[in-house]
Amino acid sequence: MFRDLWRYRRYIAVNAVNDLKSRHIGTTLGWGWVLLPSLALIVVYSVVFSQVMPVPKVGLAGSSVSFAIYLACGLLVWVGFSESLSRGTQSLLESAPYLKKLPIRESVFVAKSVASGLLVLLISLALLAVVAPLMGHFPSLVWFALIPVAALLCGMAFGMSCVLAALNVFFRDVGQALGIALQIWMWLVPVVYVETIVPDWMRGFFWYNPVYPFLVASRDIFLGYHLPDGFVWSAMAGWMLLSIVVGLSVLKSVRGDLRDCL
Amino acid sequence: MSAHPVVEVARVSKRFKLFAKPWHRAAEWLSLGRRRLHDDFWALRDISFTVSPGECLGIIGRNGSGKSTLLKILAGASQPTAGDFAVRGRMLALLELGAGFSPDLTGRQNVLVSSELLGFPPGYAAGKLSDIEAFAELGEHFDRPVRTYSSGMFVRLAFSTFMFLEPQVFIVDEALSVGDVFFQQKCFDAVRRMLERGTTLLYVSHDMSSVSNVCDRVLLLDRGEQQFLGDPDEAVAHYYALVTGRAVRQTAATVVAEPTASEADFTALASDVRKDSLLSGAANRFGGGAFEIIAARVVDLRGRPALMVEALESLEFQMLARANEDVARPNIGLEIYDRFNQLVYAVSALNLDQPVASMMCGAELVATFRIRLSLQPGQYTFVAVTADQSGVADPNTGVYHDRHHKLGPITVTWSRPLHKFYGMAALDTELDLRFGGSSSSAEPSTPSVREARGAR
Repeated sequence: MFRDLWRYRRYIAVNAVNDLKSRHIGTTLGWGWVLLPSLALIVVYSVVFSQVMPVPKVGLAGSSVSFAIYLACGLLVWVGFSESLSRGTQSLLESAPYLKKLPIRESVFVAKSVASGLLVLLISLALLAVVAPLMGHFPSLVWFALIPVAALLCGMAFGMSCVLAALNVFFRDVGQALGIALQIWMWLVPVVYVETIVPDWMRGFFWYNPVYPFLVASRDIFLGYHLPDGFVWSAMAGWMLLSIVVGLSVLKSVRGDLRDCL
Repeated sequence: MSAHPVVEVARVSKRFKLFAKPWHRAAEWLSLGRRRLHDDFWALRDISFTVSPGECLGIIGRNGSGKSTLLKILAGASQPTAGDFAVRGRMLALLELGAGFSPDLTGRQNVLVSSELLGFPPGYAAGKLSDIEAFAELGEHFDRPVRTYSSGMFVRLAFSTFMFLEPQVFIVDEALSVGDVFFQQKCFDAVRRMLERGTTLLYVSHDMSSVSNVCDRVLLLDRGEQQFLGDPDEAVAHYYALVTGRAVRQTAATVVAEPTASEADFTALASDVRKDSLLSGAANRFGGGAFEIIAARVVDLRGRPALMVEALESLEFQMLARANEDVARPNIGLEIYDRFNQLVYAVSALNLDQPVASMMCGAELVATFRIRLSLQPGQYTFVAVTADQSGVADPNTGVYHDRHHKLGPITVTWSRPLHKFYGMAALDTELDLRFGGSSSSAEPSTPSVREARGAR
């Protein structure tokens, strides 16, 4: 499985970029459309929470940041994850013409879609890093640690996508249901709220949510200027490995029937 | 031939699970194999063959016989349910031209990307770019996005790419019948050169003449089973037997009918035509029906129903038509189409200068067209048609009353070793040879040889 992914790495990379490019081809702004949604998100939240209805700063282990920055950081990570997951889920159906004709592993096409999600995530995080100083939050070299966090996150999205994409081939309802599931899921982790508003006994459950350690890690790095501790790293790596192992073994077990259903 | 076959297929079977409802699959999973909610469809059963290096194996069969499934399995795009297969060497499966092309890349980029996608090492195609560019004849379009291409340009690019990747095993599925005729001829030349170079070829086609031309051996599949494997001409004969076997069975019950069309026997003739009728019903029928075709059949010159004929020999197409209202200037005719659905020949009573007199409501007519099929071997279908020419100024137009499509198929065969002609159809030809000089051994008094051929 991994051999195939490695063998087609160039194809995956080239097409992940092309996917983004072709989505905006023919538009006047072109690549601008990759940046604009994230930019709009950042600007809207910072204007709303600093001018329209000011919210007190969020306290974070000694320091404090504006709520807008807190929100932007969490939302961009969440959007990156949910985009990767929904693209990954559609990937096998979208690649049906190739799958029906070419002897290439299914996982290659899932990886391609998720890789384009990773690309969007990295671009929007870079954008956030550029815009943050305007909001009084200054850059630091620690921020580069966001890159491995994003990579681990997309690794996890890849594993989950393998399962969902395979199911989506057999039951086309999966793709539809995913949109709703993602909305509910977003409220199960502290993306748009501060976790201190949740009762103490509930906070322990956050760790059972695969996305939570990634939120913690990116906020530690981006807002707190320090690397997350070992537990957070191992939680992220653990969730990623688990989902990839499950994902690839599910793909393997349905391989025989999968292409017949496309 | 060689001790080491390039392609080895051993007892390969393929089953498709057919579920009536998508959720039946989920129910089956959840029951952990205790419930069975699907029907099995065996697309292939126990297929075994080997192909030696440099050999060309043809695969033929009717639609749905499992050809494409077999190729998909060999190409690795589908998994066999049972059995083993091995393909040794660099294989390229041309299941669809341009599979792996993305519309937003330029032709040049697509050649590079798709060659990697097809499993060739990076940089492999780069050295062949100029050859591919030249063969594809795309000019400056080679550097434009593929989505701006016409379909012909797309096909040229795709085929050129495959051609120059120089696989050791090449699987081609009906792909050669694309592009304009010049490009097709170029493709066939290229395929022949590949064979000469020692490329192993698996070739699937409905084009029997190209199969028996190109292939060393032919595998005939029918309903997923291996019917025949061996000599191409024999395989093609088996194929035609299969194809026409169906039609023959339909008309097998007929008594030998006298071929006379004498007016006294009209009723008998009409009932014979009815009995052997090839009309398939409403699905392929068009038109108003004021001048209705009730039945149509094809018989040989001895009056026996036949759908097979040796090239250059004749068949009789008989149509029974009835006027359901008064028809002032009725016309009746037929059209013959080849396997590309190209109109080969159309003729009517009017064309033949034998216009049909006006018919009263209830009148019936049997029209017999005796046609010499000076056509290349292959399969043809015909359309039976009635029309009304009244009130139309242009003698070549009219109003259709009734059209029955896709009748037949009629199979034109060839049994002699030397063909009487090559090409689509025989044209009336006269040959005159005159010799000069002393070397001629012909008698001086008769220096010419004449051969006449044509519909007489």
